[in-house]
Amino acid sequence: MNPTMPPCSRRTVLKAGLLALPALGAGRLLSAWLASPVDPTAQAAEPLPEPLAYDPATHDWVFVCDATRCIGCGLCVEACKQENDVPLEPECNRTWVERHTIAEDGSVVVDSPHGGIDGFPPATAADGDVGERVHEAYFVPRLCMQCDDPPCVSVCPVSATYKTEDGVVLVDPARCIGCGYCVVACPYGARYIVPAGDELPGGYPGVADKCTFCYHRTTRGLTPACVGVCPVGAREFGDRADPGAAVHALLEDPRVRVMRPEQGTEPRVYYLGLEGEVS
Amino acid sequence: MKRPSASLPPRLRQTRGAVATRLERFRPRTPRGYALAAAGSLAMIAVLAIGSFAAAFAAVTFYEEYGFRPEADAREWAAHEPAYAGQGSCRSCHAAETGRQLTSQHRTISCESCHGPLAAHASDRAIAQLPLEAPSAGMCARCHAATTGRPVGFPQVDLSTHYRSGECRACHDAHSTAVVRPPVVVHPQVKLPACTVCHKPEGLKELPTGHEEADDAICLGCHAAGADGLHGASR
Repeated sequence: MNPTMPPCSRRTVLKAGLLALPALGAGRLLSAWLASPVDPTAQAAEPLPEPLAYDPATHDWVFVCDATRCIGCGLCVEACKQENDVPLEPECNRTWVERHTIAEDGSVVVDSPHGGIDGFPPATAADGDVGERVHEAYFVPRLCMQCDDPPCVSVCPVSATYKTEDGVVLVDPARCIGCGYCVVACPYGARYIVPAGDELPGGYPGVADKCTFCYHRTTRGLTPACVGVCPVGAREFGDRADPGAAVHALLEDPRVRVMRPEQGTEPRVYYLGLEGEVS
Repeated sequence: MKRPSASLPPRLRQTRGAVATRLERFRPRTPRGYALAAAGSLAMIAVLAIGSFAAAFAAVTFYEEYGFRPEADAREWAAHEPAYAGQGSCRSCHAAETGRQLTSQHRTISCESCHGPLAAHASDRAIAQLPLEAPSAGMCARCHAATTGRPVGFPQVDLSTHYRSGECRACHDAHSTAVVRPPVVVHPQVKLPACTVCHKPEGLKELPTGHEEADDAICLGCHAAGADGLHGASR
């Protein structure tokens, strides 16, 4: 050992550590006390006002998309971005619209320029391939399926994403570490990572984001923004717990399907007029 | 009875002896010394108590911010302000427009579908800035341009042949969906050539205001009608 160095035994280290513990705590207390009058995040710790007397246990939200009605105008995509401050990047969508074009030989072409936010070009993107031989074509509104058995919740390593009692899957942006496991795990591609520089209403770039069924609207008794602006009624939203809800009649339609049922995710978003190959 | 220290290994017994010798130095020997020792002990307990409290406080605030708290987070999502007011907010002030709209084919369309999010305007009329006061032709085309994939039976027009396809509202009222039809004219001649043989700037008759030279198919799209001697029937 270097004789010029002061003796640094295990005992002195342990002593210093024991002394440092309360000192660190006191420092945190002092900084919290000093920061509290000006820190805006300190106000968030106060109980938030209830939008209305909303009890999630008494609701059971479901969503029905009618592919036989959708005209691919993209107003829903635009409204969703405006309502929820979704980043304008084309790959960041809480909802989007796809066009499925089936040729006479059975090949399928799917296009969704910028998620369909500006509508669709008159012909399909693969006009040369499909062109005149189009057998069938339709638009499919897409969004988070709010699964009853959500893979995204299963894979989240920090339990940042969770399911509410009314059936909506939400992400706690303060808890999310942005690892992207949920983005990969989702069989429907319904999640994205907020790009750096973009801000959610909560102000968290770099975290996972997805459709919330417009939780701030549904808890106030409004419909989701995409449902409200749809000009042809291709999107319906309702409460399965309400016996008088219009969605009951839609769900009894024998054409009702869910997307990728083999995944066992039990989606809350149902589809009318969906062909078997759509996923 | 065997003393417990006898069972200790020699190294630990040695340590114990050393500790006892060191502590001996701090044993108070006067009443003042006892008082000082008591005061010192109390001060140490107080420091430890405050330190523990501070550490616990730090842990709790950290947990409140980053802990698992789904109910609180759901309330935060619910607390965001809506941007779209929803149907029904517009009617009280804009009765003329909504009245025409509610009896038309466009009755299923929300005002905000074309005019944009207006919750701020609905809650405070001083905010009169409409995102879209007069919908453009592009807005009409979004839904009504002939496009692969649209349901059969949905009204669509081919923009490349539709007359004045960039100025929809010259003929169409977006609220009532009423169309201003072109005048029905009985043509005096039979066996007509192409319309623009006569109807063009240097022809027998000038093109009516606002008209462009076009193919017969486009002219007849509006001006052909019935078997009562109109253009279409006479050719």
